[in-house]
Amino acid sequence: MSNADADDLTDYQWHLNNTGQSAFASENGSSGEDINQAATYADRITGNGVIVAVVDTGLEIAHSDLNANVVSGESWDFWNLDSNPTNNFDDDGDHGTSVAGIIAAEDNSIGGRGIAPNASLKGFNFINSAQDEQIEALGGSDGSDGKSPKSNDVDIFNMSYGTSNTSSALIDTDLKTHLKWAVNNLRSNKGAIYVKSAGNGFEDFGTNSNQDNAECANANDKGISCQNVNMDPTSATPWMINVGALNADGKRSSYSTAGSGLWISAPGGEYGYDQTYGWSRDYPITSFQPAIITTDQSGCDKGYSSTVDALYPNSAPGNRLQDNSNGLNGGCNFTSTFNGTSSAAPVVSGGIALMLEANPSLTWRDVKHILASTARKVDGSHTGVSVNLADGAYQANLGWVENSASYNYHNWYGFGALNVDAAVTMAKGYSSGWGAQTTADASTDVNATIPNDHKDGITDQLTITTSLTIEAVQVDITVSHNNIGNIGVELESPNGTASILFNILNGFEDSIDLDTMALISNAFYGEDSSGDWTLKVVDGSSDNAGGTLDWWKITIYGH
Amino acid sequence: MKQILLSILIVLILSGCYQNLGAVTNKIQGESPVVSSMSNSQEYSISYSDLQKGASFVSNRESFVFLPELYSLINRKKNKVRVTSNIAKIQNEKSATLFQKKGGFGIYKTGAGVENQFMTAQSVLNLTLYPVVLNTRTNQLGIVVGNISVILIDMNDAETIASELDLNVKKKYDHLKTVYFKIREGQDIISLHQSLINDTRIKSASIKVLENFNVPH
Repeated sequence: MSNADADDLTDYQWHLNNTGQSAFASENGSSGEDINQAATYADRITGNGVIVAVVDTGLEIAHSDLNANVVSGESWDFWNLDSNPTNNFDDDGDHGTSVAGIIAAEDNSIGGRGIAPNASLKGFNFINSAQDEQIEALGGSDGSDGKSPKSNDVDIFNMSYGTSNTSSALIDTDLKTHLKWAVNNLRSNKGAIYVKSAGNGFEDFGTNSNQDNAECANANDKGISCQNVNMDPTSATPWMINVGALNADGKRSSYSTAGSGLWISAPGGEYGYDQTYGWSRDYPITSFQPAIITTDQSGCDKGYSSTVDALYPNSAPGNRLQDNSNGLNGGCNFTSTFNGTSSAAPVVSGGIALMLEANPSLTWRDVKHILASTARKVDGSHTGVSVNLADGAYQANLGWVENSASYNYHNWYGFGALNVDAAVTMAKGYSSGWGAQTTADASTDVNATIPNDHKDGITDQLTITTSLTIEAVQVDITVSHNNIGNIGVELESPNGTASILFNILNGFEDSIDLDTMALISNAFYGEDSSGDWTLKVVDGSSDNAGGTLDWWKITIYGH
Repeated sequence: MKQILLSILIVLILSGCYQNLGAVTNKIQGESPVVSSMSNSQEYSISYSDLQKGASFVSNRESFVFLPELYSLINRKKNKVRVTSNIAKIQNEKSATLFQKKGGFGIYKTGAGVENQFMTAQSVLNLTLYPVVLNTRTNQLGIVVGNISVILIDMNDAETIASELDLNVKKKYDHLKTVYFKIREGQDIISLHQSLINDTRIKSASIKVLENFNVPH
């Protein structure tokens, strides 16, 4: 071991094996609340032969715990148009380098271990570009022009990013066309796999502009997610595996954005600070609950862990690993305060890499099916959130719902927690044999008033005559309203399963109208599509903003 | 990634600025503190209705109007001193006045005595300044970096069309039958867009607007 490198930190990584350790924070986690990977690891299934792209801020390709897994010469820097996206302009941490470690940090004697420690990595620093290169970073380029990355041979794209728009937004039409193409054509027609973080907007959106602050006070007051997964138009597509975050007690991380677009949850942690290292107990308990241990940009003069914080010199490091005061982080190449759904998504990407090693023939739909079928139900006693409206109690967030195909679903967790051993076991030899994904749709004008502060709202029905086994349901909706933050949208299937696609008291409070906004729901997975679908639109406020449901469309994706 | 939030929060608490968690986090959490940490810069609020309006166009089914008094540029931390200094010069003011952050971009308002009307990209003092537009539905700002997405009937026509209109071919996506043209500084993107729409070799053309930025989670 080099003097410049850390000790082996694997035993502290609660997301791999939760023994109730604190991971250098003040609070302990709950034993057993992890990704259940032991049997897979014992079988030496480690991600061999699988390429994962970290589409992010950067990737330190020479990092001592990553470099053996980085595909030589095939990462991409969108600034300098070369193959080295190592962050060289921000001393305060490179998000992508930390995401990469969760996926594929090497299995050696330094630092932590990735979920898939032998998977291959490429880094595309799209987030730090002018942002119209997303297609190039998501499989739309073979790199032959020398001006773009080779991304079309990637198996899994990890997208630990998203938008924080505070009014309805439409997905870029080029990106939408590309994603639809990629899931049908990349990986020799088995389809690229897109894993996306759900967002950190349960309590606030993270916007810091004076022009577009989201209003989260009402949501916070009621315990409802301020941001909804469906607010990011890229998340509201059937091609994404949207991932929510769990803390070390196996419950929703305080920040994790909720919504019917979630597919699965995985460890993302809380903040990881140590109260005994100079921090007051007045801060929320989440400040001191374990975060994720992963790679950090190398050096004590940069990164999340450092002896000097360039931006906030008056603040002490979060815990004793962060500044190596415990002697375990020589070189400051690792961090124990990484968190966010940014941390949860790469956990799932790593898990999928293991599934693809076990069975490289899996299609993108096979992968989604296995994840949903093997996910572990968490926080089973959570019954949702009820809000009192003028005419009575309204269930603004449902608890766990078992649909008619026996899948359990919750808007905070999707189908539940990632269960690696079960997923890899199911993956071996699995083939759905579903054939091409098909769609069925119906639409209608409505133009009816949404009653104010009324739990029953306004309802409308559309009939789907085609019988498909549902893989996803998308509603496109147009609502005229002066305060979209009031608006909730629910859908009930012909089988009687309910799903809240857009929750009341959401952070679009300062925006008007939904304009053909796409809302995805995964709660109907496996059900039959034929029959009457009932849409309900609720105005959850007494502010008399007023509005109408103008139009809606339902699209079934299935087989 | 949420840890920066907590660091800032703790600094604010220690410095006595703490009011309550929700209010503080709403204000300070963000994708990058680059602009807000610039010395001598500040963010201020002004009604969009008070700003001059330029030409309008439709992109991705949204309507946009140019705000020629505003301009934007990419802020990168390593360059902040030079950028801040040069912005102040451009604005003919002692300090750079930030109008709004937008992803990795800072949006600024032209200062008194500056006659620039930003409806096309310009290079000034080694900075590339991009025009700013307003989405009339969402009332949010967007940035036009000069790319036009074009779906062609035959991809082999890309270079010919670029040559005819003096455009750069930025990127070709054969699988989408789409080419991204980049306009040159000083070109009128509205008239070029219209020329492309009218071209029988082209199925559709759309001015790309950066409105909702992807940020690390």
